[in-house]
Amino acid sequence: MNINLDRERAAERGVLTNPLEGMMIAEPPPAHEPMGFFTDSTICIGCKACEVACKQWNMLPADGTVWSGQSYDNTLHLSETTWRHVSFTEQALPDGGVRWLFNSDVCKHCTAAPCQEACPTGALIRNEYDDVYVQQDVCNGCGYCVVACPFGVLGRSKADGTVHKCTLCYDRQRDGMEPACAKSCPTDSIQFGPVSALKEKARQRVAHLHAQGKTEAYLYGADDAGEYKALNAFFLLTEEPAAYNLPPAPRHPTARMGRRYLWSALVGIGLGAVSLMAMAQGKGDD
Amino acid sequence: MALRELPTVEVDKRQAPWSGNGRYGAAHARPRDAYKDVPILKPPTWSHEIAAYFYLGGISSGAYVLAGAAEAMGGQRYKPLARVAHYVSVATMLPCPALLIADLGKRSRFHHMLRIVKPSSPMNLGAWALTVHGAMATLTAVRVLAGEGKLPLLGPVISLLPERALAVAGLPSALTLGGYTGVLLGTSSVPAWFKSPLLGGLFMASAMSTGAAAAKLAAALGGLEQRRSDPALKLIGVASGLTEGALLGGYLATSGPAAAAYGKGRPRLLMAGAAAALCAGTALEIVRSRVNGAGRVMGIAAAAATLAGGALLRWAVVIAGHPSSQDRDVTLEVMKPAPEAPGWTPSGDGVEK
Repeated sequence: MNINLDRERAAERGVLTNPLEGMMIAEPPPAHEPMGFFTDSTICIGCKACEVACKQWNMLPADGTVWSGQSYDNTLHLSETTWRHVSFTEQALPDGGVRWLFNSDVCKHCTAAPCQEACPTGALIRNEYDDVYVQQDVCNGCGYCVVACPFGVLGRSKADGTVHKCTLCYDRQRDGMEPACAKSCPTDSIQFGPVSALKEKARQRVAHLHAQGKTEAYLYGADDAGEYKALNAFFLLTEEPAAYNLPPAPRHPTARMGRRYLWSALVGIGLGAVSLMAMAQGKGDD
Repeated sequence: MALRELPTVEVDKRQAPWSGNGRYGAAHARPRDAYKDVPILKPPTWSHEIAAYFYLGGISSGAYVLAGAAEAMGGQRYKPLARVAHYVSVATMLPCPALLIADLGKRSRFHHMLRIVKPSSPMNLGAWALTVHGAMATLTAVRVLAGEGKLPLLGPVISLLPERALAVAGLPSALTLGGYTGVLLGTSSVPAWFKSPLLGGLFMASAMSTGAAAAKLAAALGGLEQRRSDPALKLIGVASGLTEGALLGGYLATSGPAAAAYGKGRPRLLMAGAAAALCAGTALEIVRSRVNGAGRVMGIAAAAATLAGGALLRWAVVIAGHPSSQDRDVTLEVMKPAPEAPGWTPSGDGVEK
């Protein structure tokens, strides 16, 4: 069916399909200022407008309703068909009250992205907005990015066999519009813009909250944290990252690759040398 | 129902993880960790095809290195062994591309693996290593066939290729193929794979031991005179077996909390089997070298045990990735703040920086 569609499209264009099309590398557009998200969990009201807007704009299929029993969250995690996910935490307070923690989770668009580094086909690229983007027509569904991501963002679709994730509305950005989730957010919990400006805004917001006595407020992902570099989609949180199901200190797989190759090379060369010696030694016995 | 009663709700663990007591969300009983039962990582999409590929690719690599060493240093004495090892290498290489393609989500795009050269991706490097190794193993095996006079038509032409130089030229790609598989798994976020730095070395050692064992088995079953090939194979078998055993222990020890993946279910069974078979294979090989000439049967048994151990090892490691990625406690434990990765937590609020 896909092949027929491709052929139809090719016929419309009046050209023959080029069997090597997937192997050609296009000239990249000029670099733009890095663009990203600042998600402020303290003003999120858990309305899920972002989830719905994302599904609608990106034409993502429904996930099927499963009653999770986890508060009002029946989505539970990001996946190939869920690119925004609002986490719900109901906290019983010692004084008998209850408070809600909401946070709209999304692909972090890491500035050093393990998924992008792992991708063997070059389907995962860093686009001109410094966002991590899957070229759907290049991805062959090898699944390496799925295990590379320390946030569990990417999923392989059973429908088309390729991997899908948040594009940071690449299509909307190219038309000068903000991503669908940020556009639909009624409280501006999700803000979109140049990463440097967003960071400035986020730091002011944290200082403001601290001044109000809410000293638990902090930024998740705005700065480099050792081997894991900053995120272009970062968050303002008030609880430990695990409360939002985020890893407190993700490790960078590629940063550790050299040591692994070194061990492999040492063993290979060592045992190779043993083999050479063994052969040389036995040669004369004949 | 008054709100102040909420914290006392007990969660019945026998019920579905999310059910709580049926009246309140489980979150009430665990105010700080509502997402306790939702894994942070996605499970690997890899299974039997990948385990089988890692295993066969390893044998092909190890057998090629053995053959290369025999051609380079072994002189006439090890010529027959080199030939057998070259056949083993090409035979075990042949199913590899099919296994890899079968695993893809979009099989018709398998060739996209080779549309770029990308050293930051061990899978891309591996695809290139397999391509080059496949060509070299095939070419060398054809050259060996021609050398034996089994290629009546093309034989004279192919015989012009220098056999020894050809065998040595294929060594880098063969060594890469044997070890990159462990590095590939190690360059991921799955705790059981990435925690230890030794997985690449372990798979490399296993490639050498299984490659030598497969060549030995093929030589024995093919009726190659044992006396001629024996001393070198003994030494290589013992050296690679001991290295593999040491690295296996080291891998589990340096995995720390991530080694929990091998503590239950199928991974435990497979890993225990791998360790037992490796010990048995290496022990048999050592005992055999002490009681010199004590037996063809012992040699065959040692090779079979080593081969079984290598297979069980690949399956154990690949299969363990699934439960390991779904173990949220271990994920949080291996991704907790450390000097090299301080992370983002309330204590470091990101304001002053």
